[in-house]
Amino acid sequence: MPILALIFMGSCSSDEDFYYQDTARVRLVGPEVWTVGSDSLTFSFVSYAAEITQQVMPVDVQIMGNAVNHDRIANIIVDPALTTASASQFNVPATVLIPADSTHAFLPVTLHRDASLQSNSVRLRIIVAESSDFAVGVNEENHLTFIWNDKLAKPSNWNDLKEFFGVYSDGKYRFMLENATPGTTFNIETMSWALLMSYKIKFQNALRLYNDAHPGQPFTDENGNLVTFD
Amino acid sequence: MLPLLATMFITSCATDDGNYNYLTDEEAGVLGFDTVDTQYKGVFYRQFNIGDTINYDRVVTYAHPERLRYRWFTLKTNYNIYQAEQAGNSMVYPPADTIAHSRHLNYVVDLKPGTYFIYLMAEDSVTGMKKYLNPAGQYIVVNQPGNQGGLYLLSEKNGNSTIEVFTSPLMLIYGGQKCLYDYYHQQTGHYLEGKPRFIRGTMTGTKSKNGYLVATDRNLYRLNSVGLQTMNDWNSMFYNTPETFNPQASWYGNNCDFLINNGKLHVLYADKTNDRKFSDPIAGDYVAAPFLMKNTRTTWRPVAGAINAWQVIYDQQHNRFRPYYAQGSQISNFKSTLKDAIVDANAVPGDIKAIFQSGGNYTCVLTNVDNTPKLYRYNFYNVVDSGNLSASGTRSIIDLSGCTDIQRAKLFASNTPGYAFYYATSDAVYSFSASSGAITSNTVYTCLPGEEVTAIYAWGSAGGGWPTSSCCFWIAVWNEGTQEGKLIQYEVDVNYGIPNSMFGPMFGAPENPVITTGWGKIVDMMCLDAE
Repeated sequence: MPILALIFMGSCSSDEDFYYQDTARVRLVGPEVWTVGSDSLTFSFVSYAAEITQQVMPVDVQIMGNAVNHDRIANIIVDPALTTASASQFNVPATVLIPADSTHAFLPVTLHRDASLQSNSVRLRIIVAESSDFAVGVNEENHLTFIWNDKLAKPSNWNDLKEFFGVYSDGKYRFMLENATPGTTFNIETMSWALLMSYKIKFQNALRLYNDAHPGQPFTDENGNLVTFD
Repeated sequence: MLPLLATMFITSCATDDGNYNYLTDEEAGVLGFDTVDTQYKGVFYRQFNIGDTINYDRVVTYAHPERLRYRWFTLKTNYNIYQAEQAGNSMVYPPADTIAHSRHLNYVVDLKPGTYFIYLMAEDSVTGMKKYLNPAGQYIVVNQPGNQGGLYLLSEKNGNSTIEVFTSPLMLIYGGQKCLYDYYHQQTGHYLEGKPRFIRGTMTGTKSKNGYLVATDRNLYRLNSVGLQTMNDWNSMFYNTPETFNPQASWYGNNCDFLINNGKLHVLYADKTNDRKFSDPIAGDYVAAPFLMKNTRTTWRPVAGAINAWQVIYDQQHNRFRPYYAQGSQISNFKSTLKDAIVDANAVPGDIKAIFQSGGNYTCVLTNVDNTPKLYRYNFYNVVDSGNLSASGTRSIIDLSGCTDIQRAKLFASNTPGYAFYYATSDAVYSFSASSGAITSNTVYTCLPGEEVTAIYAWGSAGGGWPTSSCCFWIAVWNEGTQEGKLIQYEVDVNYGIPNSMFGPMFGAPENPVITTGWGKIVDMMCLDAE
């Protein structure tokens, strides 16, 4: 019995063993609305107005370990082996400052829009690099992948939308996306009849304004057909 | 042998006393209800609230009254029709609910809110002969608790708005005279922000017109009729809230809520999936006047090829009437007008003072042409657009030069059951009959010193089995000196527009006019049940 007691007493470790004891590290957490908890995100500029030429993705750089009473620097690099985007198509700061007494900071990753994205998707992979303040964090969260484009594709549910928007064309659809709330996806499952009809009316109004502003040159699609919403 | 057999058969068929005792007509009697209902007339011409007492009796004529037994029962309706309802996997008719077993009914209403048929059955307990009476003539209505019917008065109080309610015996269905001052404030504990503009019926989520759209100069509210709960206000009423706040007119009809804001038409289809939000402004190059038609089409024996518009607006930018068709995304146009048309719906002349819909469902325009006030009348209701939308031949244009002070008129009222319309200056109210051939107006009311006319209202497009639903006319006046509002109710002849006591004495409401005081400054009036 005394031996068993000694064993039990020896196996009861102190509370301090439950806390992080390793070297300070950082990990990357992408914006939840885009990554949905994964290590990558896909984004399309197609549903945004033409004057929107960039999108900033705030990446949460979180420390593993305790906050300290001085500023620290984390290093971020681009993984060239898994990046197809050209340098002009993105902007990633090389460092991020974790303020004193803080456990995280935001790294703004900027995705740029250009004409090439209308036919191709590009990829960017960022990874944590070791710094004097931090080692690299867990494998699952030491990187993030961004895939983006500006490609227009006929929605697979267009047959459902014909009642509201008529015959499909790329020109018409781009016009719709440019005049809708950014990020809108038209869907009879998630939108009421009244909302879709309101969009139709909105597009009718926008089309009339466009045609009034371009007398003799009404809006036509890629096939040269007059765009209408009848 | 055969002749003998034949004779036996013949004689055996000659007489047959049988074993029945037939009653004579006099002995059987005819079971009937007295057709002249005097003492209890009008008991069922009203809506009921839970807790109301129904006191009713009917004389029964029968040769053997001592054998009669009685039963009062109700039948729950579905959309005002007694029909089978889903019960599990079956369709069953709702069972009758017996509420009394005496001929004289003294019943405290405890039915659930809804509509019911109510019957009295008299049965001969010996012969089983039965007779039924439906004393209401149609269905009765049991209101939702907190649902107060009546004439709703949108009044100004201390720079804000409130709703007050008036009922009278002449209105029949509300059970007598009541003055519910400051009703909205009493119900909710607060006022509606801003000075009042208008109040109209609206939907609150179903196809029924069961709410109120109230506009002030600061906000637009959708109120539920039960407790006047706010369902939406301006900021939550649109998919895209307009930049300019300027609600000018609204109307609920054809299962659609129509709103004109800052010259643009917005719609909300109650019979489609919606979020209780108005659409973007209906597309088109137009500026809509604050006018909406009450009745645009009929489903009862419609004329083949009739216009069938869901709404018609007046485009004051292009001086023309324009139809809006069902589920359309843009305003449409009528056909080009023929040269021999008396009036041209595509080119309305003059300086327009008022547009309203009147008897015959004609759309009337009061306009000044060469300094002469004239009434132009058009018909867009249940007619084919043949290029001639004149309402009534040469009477499509009526000279109103004989109408007293019509050039000073600020307020106008009309209803579709009658051809009279009403107009008011600050100090008097007049009427004019467009069907009688009259060339002068009638004076309906002249203000007392200190009074100012603030609102007029002619109710009753609902009609249909409600005898007085078209003949009530109200005038609201305000005395700035005493800070008190007065409401004057007239029974009028709908075509002549003059006070006329016909239904009032018939239904125990002979007083004409009925005058009540103590109101706020009434700016608009409406009755949901009579719209």
